[in-house]
Amino acid sequence: MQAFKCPHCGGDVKYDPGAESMSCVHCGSEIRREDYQQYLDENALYATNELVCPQCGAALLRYDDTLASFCCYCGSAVHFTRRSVEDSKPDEIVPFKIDGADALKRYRQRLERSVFTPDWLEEGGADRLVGLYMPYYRYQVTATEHLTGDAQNLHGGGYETYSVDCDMKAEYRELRFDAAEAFPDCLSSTMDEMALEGKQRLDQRAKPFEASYLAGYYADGGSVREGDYRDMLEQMVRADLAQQKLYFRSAGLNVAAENPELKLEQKKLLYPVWLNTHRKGDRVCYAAIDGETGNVAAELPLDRGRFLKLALILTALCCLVLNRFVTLQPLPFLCVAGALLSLMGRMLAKLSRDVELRRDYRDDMGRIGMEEFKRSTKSKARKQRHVPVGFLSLGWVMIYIGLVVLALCLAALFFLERHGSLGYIIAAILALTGGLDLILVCCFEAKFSSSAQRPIRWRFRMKPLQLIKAIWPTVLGSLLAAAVLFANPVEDAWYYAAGIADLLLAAWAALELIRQYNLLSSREIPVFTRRRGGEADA
Amino acid sequence: MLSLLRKALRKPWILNTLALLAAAVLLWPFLLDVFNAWRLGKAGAETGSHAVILEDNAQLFSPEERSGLEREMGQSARYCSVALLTTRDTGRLGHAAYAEQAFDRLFSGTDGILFLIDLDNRELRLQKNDENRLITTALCESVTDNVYRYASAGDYYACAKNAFSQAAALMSGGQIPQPMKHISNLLIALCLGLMLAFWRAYRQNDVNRPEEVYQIYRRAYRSISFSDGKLRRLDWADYAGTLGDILGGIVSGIGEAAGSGGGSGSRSSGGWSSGSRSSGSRSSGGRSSGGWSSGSRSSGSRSSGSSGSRSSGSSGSRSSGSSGGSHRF
Repeated sequence: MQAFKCPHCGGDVKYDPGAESMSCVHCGSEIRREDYQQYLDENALYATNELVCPQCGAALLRYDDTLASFCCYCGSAVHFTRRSVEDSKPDEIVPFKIDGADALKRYRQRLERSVFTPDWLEEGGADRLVGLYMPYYRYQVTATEHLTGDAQNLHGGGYETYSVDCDMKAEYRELRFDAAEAFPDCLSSTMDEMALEGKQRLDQRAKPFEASYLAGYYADGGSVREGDYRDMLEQMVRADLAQQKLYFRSAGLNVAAENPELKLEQKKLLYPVWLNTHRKGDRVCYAAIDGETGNVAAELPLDRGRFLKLALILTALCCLVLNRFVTLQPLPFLCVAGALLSLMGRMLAKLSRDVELRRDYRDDMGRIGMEEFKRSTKSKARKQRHVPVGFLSLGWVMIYIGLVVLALCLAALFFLERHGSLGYIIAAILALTGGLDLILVCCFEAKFSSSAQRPIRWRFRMKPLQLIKAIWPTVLGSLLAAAVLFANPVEDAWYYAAGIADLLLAAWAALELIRQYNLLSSREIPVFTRRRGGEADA
Repeated sequence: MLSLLRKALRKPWILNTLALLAAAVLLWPFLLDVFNAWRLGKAGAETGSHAVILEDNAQLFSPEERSGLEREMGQSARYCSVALLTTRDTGRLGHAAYAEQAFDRLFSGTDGILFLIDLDNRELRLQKNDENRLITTALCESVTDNVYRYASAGDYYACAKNAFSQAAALMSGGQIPQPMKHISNLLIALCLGLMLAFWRAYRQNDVNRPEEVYQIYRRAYRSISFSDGKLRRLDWADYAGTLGDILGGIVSGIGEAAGSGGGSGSRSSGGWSSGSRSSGSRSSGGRSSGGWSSGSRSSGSRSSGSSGSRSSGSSGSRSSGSSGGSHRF
């Protein structure tokens, strides 16, 4: 007997030959067979098999009867549980063009391009490679608005004001998000960008869905809710339109579309991906090979031993050059040490933030759902109507530069009197502002970007206290350098001691960078919850 | 070439060999320092024929110490004139300026080295003529770095003696130990090496970072058109005109913008306005069919305003014929 799904609760429905009708095992609804067939056709469903990994809960669909033995999401060799289901028919599918052997070859070529990757990533072969169709939501957005109002144009040294009355129509295509909770958004977005380097648009490559394309491959069921990405898209489109310019005499009249009418067309698409999974301890690394173009998006950790050996070679080369041309006195040595340390601290802060974001899935909206994503990040749509574009980001730049200039002036006043040498002053200021810079990073996390290029920015913030916890040794080192410079002792030993301490801290920061980078390039073994009804653990 | 290098570096035996060589290169300067320190102790007692001048204006040395110093200075006198100068009052001059003046006065344009103990400014300075390639300014700094502790402790005799001993070693083509230089350069090189290696590793990562994941505009095709409108200028004079009159200005404006922007050209397809792909580099907009319209792009802050010009500071030029290194004590 084949198990069908109840159209009311999604539970198992059994056909009773005696009664010539069906009833739901869970809610007890009676369903006529004809009604059920009509229900399937209306809801565009097709019959397939669902394979569930007992370890992580990932659900894959398989059109034929093959049983999977390797879970591509948790990297475990397991026996999947299988049952027949109906799944909604996607609108389009992009068939596989790259086979498994080719995908593996491309992946190995990608590994060879990196000197730092560990050998264990090359272990295993086709048994770790799974070909599956990833579900995507593909959007096309049309925005229209009748624009009226005044707009200003900077022309000939003065402002010209115009009254504008026109229709605006904007169309956005190639907007797509992966609908699979299990597939990391960072990999799907990287693959999408790589695919866009090609010349053909997705709607030209996609074919109408036919279940036969699925034969021999898996498909991810797609558990992200349809509406989850709509809200983000609407915000992005509105923010982008708010900055559009009507070009007149090669300058722009900023006519903001304040309330455009948006029409979103959504299609569900299956896209081919070869997923390679390596599991090391309690972490997994994914590599996604585009099943159509062959592009590889891989999370590649660093091998620490290899990295250190290469760093040693580079150190020797730098040392040869420095010994030949550079003799640093104690004071400039300390300043250089402080500056290098603050630079490392800045890099470490950035990486620590990324690791925390990834650990909490805050870069994976499909994983945590739209509501939690919005709570954990802040979106800021910019309106640029009558202010120069980039004003808001420029404001942060001004704050940052202002504070640095203030620090420079204070330090210059102090050092000018004591040292009287401009070179030393500048070097001392570098070390001093290094510590200030890190504190500013913790407090503001200022980023300077043209808002025209980023109409909406999801601001990923790390709590200042957590950031300080990640980088406090580097902050301490920078402040130590500044303290010694201000104290200005006679003995060189103070400068050398502080400088050596700073550089050892910088070396620590570098090793910490490797650790954080490896955390960023891998992820914890996932655990997925399923949202289908009629299951005991739903 | 790069791919060959990458392949070679992935082989463990090549990597290990290069790492060992690198370690040897890093250790070599320290071995050299030990050797040079040993050689300094074994310096000979030959004296030379150039002038030896000792002006102890600060009354720091006893007669026996003066003799000892003259003997030590005699070793350097094989190569050039040498002078030792002490003072408690430089007038209003800094130690560098005082040393330069004294150098010109004592050597009158000939080759020489001058060691100054300036009790007024509490500075030591080793001055040499610019033509002297054996003792560079950096080496002068190293010599004063090596001996300042004696002066800090009040042992001016040992300070001067060691200074001339090291100067003699340099003048004979030898080297002096520079442990702190090598230690500081090693540590800086270590930091630079780690940073360069990490930067290289980070660059090889092509997966989007968290904040790049939802930069959807990088992956979108967009076209925007304006049509059927009226544009009326309000200020100064009530200039009325239809958009048809100013179409020429808009078209030429688009042409200028297309010249300054980058990216793919426009395409037009039936039923759609021509698309422009919005990317980080911003392509120019296209022209759609029907009605008045213009493709537009948001260039926003990409205005023609240039950033401030870079002014190069002019460094002061040195007109004196001598230079040197100094240290506080």
